[in-house]
Amino acid sequence: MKIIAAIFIVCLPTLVLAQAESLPPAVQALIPQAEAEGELQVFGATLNPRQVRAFSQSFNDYYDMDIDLTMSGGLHSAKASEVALAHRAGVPTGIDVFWTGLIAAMAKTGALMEIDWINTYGADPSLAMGPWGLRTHDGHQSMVTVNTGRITAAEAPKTYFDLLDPKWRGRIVMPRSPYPWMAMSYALGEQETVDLLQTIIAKQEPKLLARYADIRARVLSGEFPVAIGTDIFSLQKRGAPVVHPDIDLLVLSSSGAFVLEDAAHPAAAKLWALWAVSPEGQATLEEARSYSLAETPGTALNTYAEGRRVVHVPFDWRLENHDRLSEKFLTILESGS
Amino acid sequence: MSRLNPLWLVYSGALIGLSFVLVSLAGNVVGSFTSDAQFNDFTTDAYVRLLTDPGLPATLMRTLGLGFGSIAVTLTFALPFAWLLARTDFRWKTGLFTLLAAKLAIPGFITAMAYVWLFNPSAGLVNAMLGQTNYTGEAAFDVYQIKWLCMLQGLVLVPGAAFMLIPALRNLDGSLEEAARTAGVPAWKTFRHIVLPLLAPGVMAVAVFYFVVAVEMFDFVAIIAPPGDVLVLTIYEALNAVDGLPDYGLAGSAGVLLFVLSAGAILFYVRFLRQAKKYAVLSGKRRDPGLVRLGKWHGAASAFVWLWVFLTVGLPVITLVWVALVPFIQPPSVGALDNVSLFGFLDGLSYLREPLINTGFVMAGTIIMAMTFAICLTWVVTRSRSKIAPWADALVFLAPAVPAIVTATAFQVMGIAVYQWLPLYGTLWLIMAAMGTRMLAYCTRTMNSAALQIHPELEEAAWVSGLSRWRTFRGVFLPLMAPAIFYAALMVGMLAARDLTLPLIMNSAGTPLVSVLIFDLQTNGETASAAAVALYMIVVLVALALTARKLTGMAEPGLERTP
Repeated sequence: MKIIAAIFIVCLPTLVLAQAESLPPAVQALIPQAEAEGELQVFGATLNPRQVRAFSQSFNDYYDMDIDLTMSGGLHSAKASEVALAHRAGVPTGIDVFWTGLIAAMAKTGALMEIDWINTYGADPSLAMGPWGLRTHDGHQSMVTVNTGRITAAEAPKTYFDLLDPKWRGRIVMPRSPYPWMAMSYALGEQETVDLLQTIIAKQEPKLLARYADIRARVLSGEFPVAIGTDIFSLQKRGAPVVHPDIDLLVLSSSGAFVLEDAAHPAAAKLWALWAVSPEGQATLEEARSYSLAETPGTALNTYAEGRRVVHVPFDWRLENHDRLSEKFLTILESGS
Repeated sequence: MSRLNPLWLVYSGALIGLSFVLVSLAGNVVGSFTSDAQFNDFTTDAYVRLLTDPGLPATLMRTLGLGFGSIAVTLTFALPFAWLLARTDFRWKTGLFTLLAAKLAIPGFITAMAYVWLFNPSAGLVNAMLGQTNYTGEAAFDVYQIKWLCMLQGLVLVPGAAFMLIPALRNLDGSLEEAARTAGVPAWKTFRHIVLPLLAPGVMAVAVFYFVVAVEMFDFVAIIAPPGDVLVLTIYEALNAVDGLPDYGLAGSAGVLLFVLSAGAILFYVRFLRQAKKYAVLSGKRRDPGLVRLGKWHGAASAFVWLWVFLTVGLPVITLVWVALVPFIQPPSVGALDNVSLFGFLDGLSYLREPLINTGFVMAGTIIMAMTFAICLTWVVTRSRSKIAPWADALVFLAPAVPAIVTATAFQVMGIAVYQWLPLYGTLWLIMAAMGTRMLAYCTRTMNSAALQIHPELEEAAWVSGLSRWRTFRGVFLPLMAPAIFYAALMVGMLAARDLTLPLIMNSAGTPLVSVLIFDLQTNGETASAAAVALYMIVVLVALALTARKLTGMAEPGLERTP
């Protein structure tokens, strides 16, 4: 065993070097520039310090660099609006990569750097998010969760319309947010989704909560056996008694890495986005937050997606329909509060 | 060239403090007219949307009910607690002070979560024990009601309200009570007819201030989620757009409605200030009131205190400890004991060092800023003869009605606007300025009440004796205000350490704070580590509060800081 470990340690630098050499020349050219920049600021997911260290380790190992990576999270819509304001005023935002799905304000004000990820850096064409971003993971906030301590797999809903069964009256917790329903309306059809939500609100007396973390807590504690609008892959890893039931449809909305126009460390920022979609990056995202692209083999999302009808809500469609659908579904939700 | 009067420093401090308040208020008002979150286009569209919402009257009534209900509960506990701490020989003063401070450090969502576990209708432990669980609201207890929301919010606001009232109680002139005692007036009648009327400005300040705070609090509304909307929910939803821009217009117009709701009470308070001399009880002829002996009532007082402690500190701390011991949130049960481990405590400890240092820095900076501005404003409001002073005070009073996210945005916009001259944007300094501004109203409420009780004749005597107004300010006014300054600083420090919204929106990534760490861990589903960090934070803050109390001489029940 010790011999194998020794061989591995000796070979590791060679493996890293070989990996770096296998990168497209344009990507390789970014590495010395990034090293000269020396640091990188990513705003996006909330991570604990141990996870940030894991991100930093994997990112630096991937390119054989030593860059100081800082990552922070917060309220994306407010931050995006602030970044747009700062950019318009010519004030440095201090952020290099905005890791999000919410870019409307920044795109409008030209705060995002346009990058040809496909032709310049060899990224997969399916990963492009407009002329700016690179899709790093697929969100699944429309999913249903059930508490296995309260209901069996046989009792769990098999379609979204099973949620209308009277047996779920008073047993569903869901967000006051229109987000899950907006995504679902792309997959199910707008009128069908409106009817579905109206019936749930009118007949099932769901508990509506403002924050996603509270919804997770309520289904985890067993107070409500069914939740809509939250993912629990990372909790399942810790043995929590919750699962996503065997529902026929999986609706996904993507998030990605967007380099800011005023990024002080643009080369490092581009490398981070490219790392995030690499197998190593995807493994790190999966380990930290159970984030992944649906097509990345072996991840929780990929495993769940197998054999199901998977619908990706197009990025442009989201931008185009947000205001209208948001108001529509929020009105229905408010009628039930 | 004549020397500049140093009192201009006081006026300047007041002016800067007021300017920061105006940034926050103007941010709210200007935001209410913006249509694109970028302050490019201005319309009245948000007001039209808000005011034509058919649900608005009911929302307003619920919001008013929430505000009045919460302050009724708060005053029921805070007034007796302040009296016990400041004016009686109550034996558990240090314990009560410690627990009040501890409560300030407990995150609101934990208190709410504890009550949901106990009293939710479908699986609440108390309902389960009574065999009365029900999914459709027929249980013995149903925590999802507005009356529970009032009770819980009211209970958690007690420490701040008590700390606000203590300085006013400490400054009461004992000769009035002594005269009543000599005349054979019973203690209860003395309290009702002498102490309470003299405390009127202080009680009024607490009631108005906490009305504003109660209608703007979000933690409990988010978790209890009673039937029907309240204004703060409208604001939250407007600012947390799922896929687009925050709706500053709707949030701002709802914030302006909160101003309107608060305005009546504030106007009433301003009238009080105009009759300030009626409430001045601390004069040159003042007598130390001594301590009221509780005697046979000590047991009843202790029971009253322990009831609050159990409801507000005991249950949430037990909840925090339990959450810190299990890998994911689950109600206590025999089966869950198999999962108990110390991992959360060890994991939380490994993250704590840097955020704790940064938080200490923010606490210190916020206290210094808030205290400096508040002392200056209090002096200007209660001592200057300017006719606009009461209105300046009313403006400060409105600051807590501005939603925290809007305040954060207003300060960010200001930071961006002045960046080329003063590069504060993205630094902890801007966070401290925003925090200090939000807490300024609390400080000025506490200090104004105490300052109103200090008769101007004390300062007039100092001037007649040849002291300059500046030296009178330093040598007479400030020492007399010491108890108020201490309790205001304590409250500001505690709230600064716990505040999440401002750092979350304004924080630069290189300077993590403890509150943001707790949020990150909780959002990540690492509830055990989050709860452990919260417990560490409580211990640190309580230790700091006790040390500060000892060092500043505020630990003793007497009135050693007054002449």
